[in-house]
Amino acid sequence: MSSSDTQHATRPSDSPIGATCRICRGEATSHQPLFHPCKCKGSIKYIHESCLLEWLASKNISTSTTSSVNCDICHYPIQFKTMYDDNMPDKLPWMLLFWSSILSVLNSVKVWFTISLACLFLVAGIPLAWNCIRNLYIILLDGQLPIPNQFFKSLIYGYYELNDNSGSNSISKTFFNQDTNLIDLTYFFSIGIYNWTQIVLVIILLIALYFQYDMVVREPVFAKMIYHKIGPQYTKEELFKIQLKERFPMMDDESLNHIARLMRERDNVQAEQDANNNNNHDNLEQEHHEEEFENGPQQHNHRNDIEDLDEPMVQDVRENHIPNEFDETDLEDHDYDHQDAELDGTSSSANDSWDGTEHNIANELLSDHEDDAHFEMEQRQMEIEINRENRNAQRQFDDLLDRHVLENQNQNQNNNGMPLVINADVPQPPRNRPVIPEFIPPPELAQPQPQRPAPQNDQINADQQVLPPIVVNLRLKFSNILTYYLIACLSISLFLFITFFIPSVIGLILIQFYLFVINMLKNSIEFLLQFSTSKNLIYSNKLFINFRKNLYPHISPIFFEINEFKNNLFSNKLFLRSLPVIVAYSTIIFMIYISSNFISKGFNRDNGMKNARKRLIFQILFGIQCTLKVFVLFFIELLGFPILAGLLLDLSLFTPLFVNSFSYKTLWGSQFLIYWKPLVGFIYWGLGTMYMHWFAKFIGMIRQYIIRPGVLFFIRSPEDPNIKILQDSLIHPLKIQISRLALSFFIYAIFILVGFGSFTIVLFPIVLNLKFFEITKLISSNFLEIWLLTTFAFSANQFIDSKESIKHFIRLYWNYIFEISSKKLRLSSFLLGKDFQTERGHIIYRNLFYKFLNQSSAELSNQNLFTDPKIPAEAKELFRINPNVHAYFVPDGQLIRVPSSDIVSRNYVQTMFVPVTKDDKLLKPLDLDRIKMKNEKNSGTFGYLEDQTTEFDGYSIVYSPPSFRSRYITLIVLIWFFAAVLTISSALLSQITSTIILFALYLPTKLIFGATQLTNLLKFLIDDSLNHISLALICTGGIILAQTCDGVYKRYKEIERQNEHVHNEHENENMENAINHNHNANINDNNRNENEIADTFNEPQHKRFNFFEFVNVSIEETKELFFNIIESGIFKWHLFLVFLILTHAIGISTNFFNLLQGTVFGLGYISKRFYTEFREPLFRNWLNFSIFSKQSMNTIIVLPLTLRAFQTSLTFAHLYRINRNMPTKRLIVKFWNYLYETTLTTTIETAIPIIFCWVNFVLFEFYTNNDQYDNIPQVLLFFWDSRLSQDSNNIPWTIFQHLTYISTILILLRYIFINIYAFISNWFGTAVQSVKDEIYAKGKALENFPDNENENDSQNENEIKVIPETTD
Amino acid sequence: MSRTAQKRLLKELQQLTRDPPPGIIAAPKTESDLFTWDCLVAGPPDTPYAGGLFNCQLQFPTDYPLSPPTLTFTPSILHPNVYPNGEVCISILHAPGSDPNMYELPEERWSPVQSVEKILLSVVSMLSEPNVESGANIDACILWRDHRDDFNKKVKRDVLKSLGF
Repeated sequence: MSSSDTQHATRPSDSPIGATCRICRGEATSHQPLFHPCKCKGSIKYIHESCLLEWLASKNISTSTTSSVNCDICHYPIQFKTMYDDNMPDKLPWMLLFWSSILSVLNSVKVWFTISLACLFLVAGIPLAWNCIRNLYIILLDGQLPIPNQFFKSLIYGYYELNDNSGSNSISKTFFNQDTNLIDLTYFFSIGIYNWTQIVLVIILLIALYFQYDMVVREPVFAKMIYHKIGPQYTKEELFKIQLKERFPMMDDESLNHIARLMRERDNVQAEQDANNNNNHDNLEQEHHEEEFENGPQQHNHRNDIEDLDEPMVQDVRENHIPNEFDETDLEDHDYDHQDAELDGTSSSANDSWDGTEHNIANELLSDHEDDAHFEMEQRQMEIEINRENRNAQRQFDDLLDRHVLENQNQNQNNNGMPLVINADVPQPPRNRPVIPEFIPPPELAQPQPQRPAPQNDQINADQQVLPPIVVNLRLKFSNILTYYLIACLSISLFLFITFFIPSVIGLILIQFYLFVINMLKNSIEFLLQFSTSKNLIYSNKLFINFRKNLYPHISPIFFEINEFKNNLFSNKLFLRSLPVIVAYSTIIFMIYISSNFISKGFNRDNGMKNARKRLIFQILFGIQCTLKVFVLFFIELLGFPILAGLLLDLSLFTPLFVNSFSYKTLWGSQFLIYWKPLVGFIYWGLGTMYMHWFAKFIGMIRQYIIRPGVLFFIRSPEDPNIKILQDSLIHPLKIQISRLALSFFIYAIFILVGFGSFTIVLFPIVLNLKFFEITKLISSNFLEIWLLTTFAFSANQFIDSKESIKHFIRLYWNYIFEISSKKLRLSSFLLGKDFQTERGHIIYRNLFYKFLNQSSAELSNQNLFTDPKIPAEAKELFRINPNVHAYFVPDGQLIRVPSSDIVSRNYVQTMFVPVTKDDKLLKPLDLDRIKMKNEKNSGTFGYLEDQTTEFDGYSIVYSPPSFRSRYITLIVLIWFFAAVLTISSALLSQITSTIILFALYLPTKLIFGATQLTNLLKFLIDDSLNHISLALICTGGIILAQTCDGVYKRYKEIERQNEHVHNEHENENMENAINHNHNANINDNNRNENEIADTFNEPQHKRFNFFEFVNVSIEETKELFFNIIESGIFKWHLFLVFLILTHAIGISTNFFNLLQGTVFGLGYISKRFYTEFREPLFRNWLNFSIFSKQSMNTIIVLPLTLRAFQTSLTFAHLYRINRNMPTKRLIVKFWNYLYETTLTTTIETAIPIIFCWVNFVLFEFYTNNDQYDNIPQVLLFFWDSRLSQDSNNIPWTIFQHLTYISTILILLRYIFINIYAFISNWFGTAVQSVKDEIYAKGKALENFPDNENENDSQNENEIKVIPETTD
Repeated sequence: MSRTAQKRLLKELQQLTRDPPPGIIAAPKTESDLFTWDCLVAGPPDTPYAGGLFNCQLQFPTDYPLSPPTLTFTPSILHPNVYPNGEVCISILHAPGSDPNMYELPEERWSPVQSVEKILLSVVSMLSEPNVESGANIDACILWRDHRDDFNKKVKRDVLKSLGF
């Protein structure tokens, strides 16, 4: 801002009359002028300086220390002007300026140095440390250097160089092929990448394991499992005694024992007494409760407060339960009742407070009894009764356990081992309670909460976990960075020491031990063998001879290998190197498993473990064990599964399609990646995940729209309430879970291999001998092409997926397929839930003639074919009697129970699929014992802990034909077949569509332009599309088809609606009909509705179809499509990428161009002219510095460029992120501006003038010295190539030659000087400003925001935000 | 400090009397004490509060435009964002910088730019659109979310009560 502006802005008269300060609402006075220091407008535009300062002071913001203060509302920095001392000289003393600038230079150098050092450490230092420390440990383990006699080298390189042939580290092959005499920057660079990958993977693994452990330990089931293993710490009596002791420290042991005995007896008596009047009590409670609920909210709250207050007491009351009495069902209730009864007589305040408890109890009782009623309703079903018992017992057990876990926590947290009961104020037996103790609720409890507060674990945790906050105060200071780096190195070395070195040592020892054992075994076997061969003493020597003959030769090499391993311990193979570690870890895991089992041996729910320390150890060991189990399962499911699926997909689909049907030497996926093979895993993972997602979508569609609910009960539905992944994987035995996973993967694999492979491997290439289905395009490793194709395919897929009509048609197709095939297979009842009488049996015919050749007439010959079914014998008899009837209907098959919902519980399924009669009587009673046994076997030891929701359990009765299984398999085959038909036909259709469009483009262009390159290209494309399927064409065709389809579908729907409207208006008398119709439409399920729509769509009854209208509509549609695409996020994303690439390309090429011009021609010319002894200018091999190898040189050049590109990308990404919702036009403008500012200016100032000069002078040269050159390119070549070389030294120089090089130098120098000047003046200005600020500044004063600057921007971006009314 | 507050309150009072927003009346309780105001808020139409007139009290701190006033319904009303003691819990009434949950954006909170009028308008909009995500009265939240009919019925009854029926 210029100085005149500033003066103008600070004039107080600037504010209009009536403007008020936004804080004090006062007007401008002569003392206190109003300012508008930010972008706010309207009534809050102005502010007094003092008010602002006051407000800032109240927020603890000081204007002197913070560089810029942002306005609360518009978030623009508030404009301050620094006030200077009056006696500040106009021109600052030079010395001062000099020293201060030197200081600031040093400062900034220091800052930059620090930052770059930090970056260096982060990018290269830490991986290097990791690398070196790892190698050091390896050296220590080996006792020898990988590269003999060169310690440091072997520290850095390790076994990489030796590794080249083994192939285990393919990264080494691509990067490390240098001669090792040079400092190799590339190596350090790649060390960075490689080791960072390692570090990141290790960190991810550790974090995953930790969180897994955390989740497992927090899982409620885990506590129950521990309870199951080691039981409670105290029996009821002990607990009670402890409580008593706590409460009455003066009591001696004898009286304690006495009271405890009394209590137990009382409990027993009470239990018997209260069993009778339980129901009565409940009813009363219930009424009371409802009444209470009707009252106003205040009372409601009040009650809640009380409840909160009493929660600890309730808790306490529960403590009194005997953990080992839970087979007595109503124990809990009695206890509570007892408490109530006892307290009736106490004071009123006590009454009040116990009221709350009563309600709690009432609620519980209520829910219990509701549950009971619910169960009673279903009691006639035996299998449910089993469930119910289980659940009752389970619930009680859970309750007991919750309490118990609570205790445990308390005890574990209490370091001095004193058992502490929750809220020690209250524990006391009801009988001895003289007065209600004054209980002051902690503040957290006082908050109103409507429901029963959660178990108080959280609170206890919160109380205990008040730790002093760890202050992470990382400062980027020079000395600090070194310290951080040292700390990082230390922690790395420590980490590697613990996780790699020690396990290796242990593993080595273990291997020795195992080898010893194996050797012993081997020796004994050999001894036995010798023994048996030498003396034919025992009968079984035949076995030994067989063994020796057949097996031993196979086994002995293994021994040999192992011995070899022992002797020549470390070769550089990755597997052998990691063997000791693996051995050690697996031994440790095994030990954990064994020891946890050993500790818990002899303990169970009834017989609790007493020792607190032992309990803790067991908990940790068991936790680790469970974590590993869950981790293995999750790993298989989330990583192993998709990767395998991807591999199979590659094998059966991509390799045959993309590569060549007959060469299976290399998979497509591995061809795709030359640089780093392990990346194949990522690709396979992505492919597999996509495939599984797609499969799940298909299943979901079928489940939702087509088949009867309950058919797919074995595939988990997303809305299944029984899914508790963690709990499931904890509870069920590992073996069963893995076998389940293996089974499902087996099915997946078969689907993939057979489903795809039978087409791609067998049908197309071999049976049909078609080359058509080979996609040749995707073999190339041209990254850009593959990227474009993939994004195109992806967006096409997204586009087609988003069309409602496409979904609708696909659903119709499948509906039809399912209906037809289930009809043919007589599975309608089972699959679709539609019971057809005609499917309940088969028709027998008189003879084969009627059966195969004359079916319809035979069926017609029997008037009541289906109404009068016969048994086969009867039918045969009738055939004999009645010669006119040739067919009879013979019912067969049976009715079975099947689950009626997809979310039935697992145990319930075991009782399904049993034959029943028509009125739902079991044909033979369920073998309940067997079912129970099977359930137990499936669920393992902890199975009873699982509470599956049984509310969706229910069955329906469907018809199942004989040979059900083969019919079902046939159905699956049919579905597969039709899926293939759908896929292939739609692909072909899309391809044909786009071919036709190409052809339609080709003919006119050919006619108009003749045979140009464009027509050739089109012709080539058409030829190609006739010979091969092509992904691009399929996608294009797919998009076009989908859009057309959608448009037509919408149009017809509209016409249909209009017609309906007209129809209804005209035929008012048929109102009844219409209502019926509507009614039907309402009742009918989705399928029917869609059928109707489809019918109307298919019937050409709407004759008013107008071709032009249709064309209009499609043009509109296309327009809309076009605009949609342009405004869509993906288009903007591509725009962003294009601009990004453009920026980089222009920037990099300009820089290269300038560098080349400057060094080759500029320096070359100067050296040639003025230093004649400088024979060899920096020409051609201008990059040949000898200290660095070529790769390093490349790194030197590439690294800054990469950094620059990185920085540009970040800025660009930021630009994109903040503007991504902008209309495309403005986005382009923004991008263009950025491009212009950053790179184009340089290009315009340097490259373009240079090119201009060159062209001009070359032309001049050519026209002036016409005789020496044949054509213009020759001149250019001469200038470019040989004018500055030594060969042309004796050719005389012309003026234009001089001019060419001089102009180049001048232009570059000008650019350099301008930049340097700008930099220096900028620097100088900053220096002056900083000196002024440091020495002469008095303070800051407000300044007005410039009114007219960036008017356009402020209109759109910075309107004053209306404060949203969000409440707290 | 207190003088600034008084001056500003007077200004706001003038503004309110000169140009009163619909459905809102607010004035200091007594002439001598400018720091306690009585307000009447009419229940917004098309809500269960429609037709009601709710009395509330604004208590200003001595450093008023710098810290927010507190607003209390007397008597309390049933609303998800009103505490059982009548205190209103909306973000505009929360001082900036004291947000333990990091739940509210800084621009939604109190700043001296706000005024009595804006507070009361926020209260009216709060009446029409409760925010159950950060409720003050959890009973009311649950009632409002799960049993809207009951909630409406109760509120209507309260409205009638507040009108003296």
